[in-house]
Amino acid sequence: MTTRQQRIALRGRRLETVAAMATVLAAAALCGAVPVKEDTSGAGRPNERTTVAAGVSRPEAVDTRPPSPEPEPVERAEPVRLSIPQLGAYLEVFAADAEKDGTPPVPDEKEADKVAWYQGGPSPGERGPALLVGHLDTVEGPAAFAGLGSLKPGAEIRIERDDRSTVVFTVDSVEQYQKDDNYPNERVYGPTQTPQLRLITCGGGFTKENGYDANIVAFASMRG
Amino acid sequence: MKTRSLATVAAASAALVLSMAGPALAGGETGTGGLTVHPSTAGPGATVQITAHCKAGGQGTVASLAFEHSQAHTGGHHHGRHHHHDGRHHDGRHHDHNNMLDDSKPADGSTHHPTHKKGHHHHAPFASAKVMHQGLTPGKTYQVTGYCKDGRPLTGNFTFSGVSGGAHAGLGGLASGTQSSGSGMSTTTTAAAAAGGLAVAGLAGYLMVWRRRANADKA
Repeated sequence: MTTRQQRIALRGRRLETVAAMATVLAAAALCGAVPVKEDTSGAGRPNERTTVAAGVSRPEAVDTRPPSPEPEPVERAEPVRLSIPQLGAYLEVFAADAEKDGTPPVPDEKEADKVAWYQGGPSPGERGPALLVGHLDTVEGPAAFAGLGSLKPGAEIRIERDDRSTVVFTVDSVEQYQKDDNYPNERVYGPTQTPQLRLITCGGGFTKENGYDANIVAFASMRG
Repeated sequence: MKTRSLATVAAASAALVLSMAGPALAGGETGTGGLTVHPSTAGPGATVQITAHCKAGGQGTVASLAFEHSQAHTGGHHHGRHHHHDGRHHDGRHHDHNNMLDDSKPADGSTHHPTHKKGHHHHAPFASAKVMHQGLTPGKTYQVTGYCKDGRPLTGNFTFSGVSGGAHAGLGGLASGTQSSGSGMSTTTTAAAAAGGLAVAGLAGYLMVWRRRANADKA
């Protein structure tokens, strides 16, 4: 025969047990629901790919002639800052030479939040394609050009130059190309009649041995 | 009379258009020059392929201030022999050893099969060249010269871009499979940490209460 006090105590213990178990189960479920960061190198995930967003690729916008009036090129000046309002990016730009293997310059890992401008080519605002290269990410997290693949046609890119002028560009298209023998050098680096920008970062699949296997390129032309 | 004059104008226009389109219809991508350089824009150290748009096909090496050296393609089936040449000193006259002006003779002393001369690979690259590593001006277009097998001189253009190939602009692989920024990853980490903390706190609390009750029962 149990007393009233014992029954209350027993009920209390059961209640505590249920509450504790519910807490543990809820926490376990929450942990299971979120993705786990297993391998920061990405080596174990070769099949995952970084691609451009739907609707941002408009090759015909790059190939067609610019709208009239054509923008007048401006005199050469080094770019010092780049802003992309759509991405909330405001980035430092520095001048650099091509890499030893002839590919466009890229910032050091320590400067992954900055953008390299290829000083062997046109500056932003001069006639031709100005090349600006930024990292997509580092082992620590996203870098300067994270999100470039989602840049929408029509998005604005502002370049501040060391002559205190600002030139404004409009995104025409965002493309992704494999880094192989079929890389479209002429399309990306070839001469153009008007001042243009090429914002370049990495994309595609990633392996620890070879890095990313593609480039994401945002084509932009200067506003008239 | 009016109809007749209109017909004449139309015929003249058609003839003009066809004459202008002739080279294009013949497969030439470089207009009247006859040489196609692929890629026509490249950076230092890149290898470009040269195709001749002439009936006899191209022969020998090509020359350009933009090239370190060029190499004739003998098709591999011609004993695999290649001809190396410093394109910077090419004047088109010292290729006699290749018989490049005489299509009736083999270029490398080997025996050509007659079918090769019928040009089943006339539109395949007949030479390749390596772009100079130094001394070129980015954005500048350089002339490329070569020859048809019948001796006709050919020209094409090559633009030095200063760079070529894809940029190595990603270090971590964190963005694979997503285009989102890193804020998603930090949110994930925060959620996992909160959930883990909650679980540990709950378990510890339960054990403490259970132990207290157990001790009380014993007493």
